[in-house]
Amino acid sequence: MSNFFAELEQKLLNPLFQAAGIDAQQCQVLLSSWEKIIIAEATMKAIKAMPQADSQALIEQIKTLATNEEKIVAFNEGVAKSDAATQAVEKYFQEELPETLTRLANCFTDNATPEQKARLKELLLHQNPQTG
Amino acid sequence: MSESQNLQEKLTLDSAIANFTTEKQVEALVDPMVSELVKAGVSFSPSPIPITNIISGLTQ
Repeated sequence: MSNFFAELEQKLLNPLFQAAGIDAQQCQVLLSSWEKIIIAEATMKAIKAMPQADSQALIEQIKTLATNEEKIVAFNEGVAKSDAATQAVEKYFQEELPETLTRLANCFTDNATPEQKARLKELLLHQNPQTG
Repeated sequence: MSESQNLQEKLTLDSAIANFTTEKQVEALVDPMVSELVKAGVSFSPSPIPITNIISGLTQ
């Protein structure tokens, strides 16, 4: 797991899920799903931002590659060559993902009991003492 | 319809996120090519995302 996902999980997602009363095993399933969704979203943003001919060529190239390592290298090189793809990924992480996380947090606070809200605050302050 | 348009049609990940989807649902939602890349381990090293404001809002 990258530092990015470790930080996101530790600082925000785990406290949210725990405060919602989700058991530890299900928390891990959810965290794994979120990681996959975020990577899939970023991957799609990159592919969709490229000129269609470039994305088509990249997809066809990747299909011909045998190993996962080769596919990842080809994908990363394809994204790096495209300013539009690079910018789309950056925009996703800096703007769109935080908006999604805000919606998730608001969804929780709109429906949580006072006890759950208090528990969330306690967990968040424990993980993010500087925000207290 | 082009392949990229097909990919766009298939992706409704925001709704998946909003509904706390399961891993199997994630795999079903994303295009097979993207799913394959995710399984292969495609990742990103983004700058730290601005979640401090979200956390601050929740701890007030």
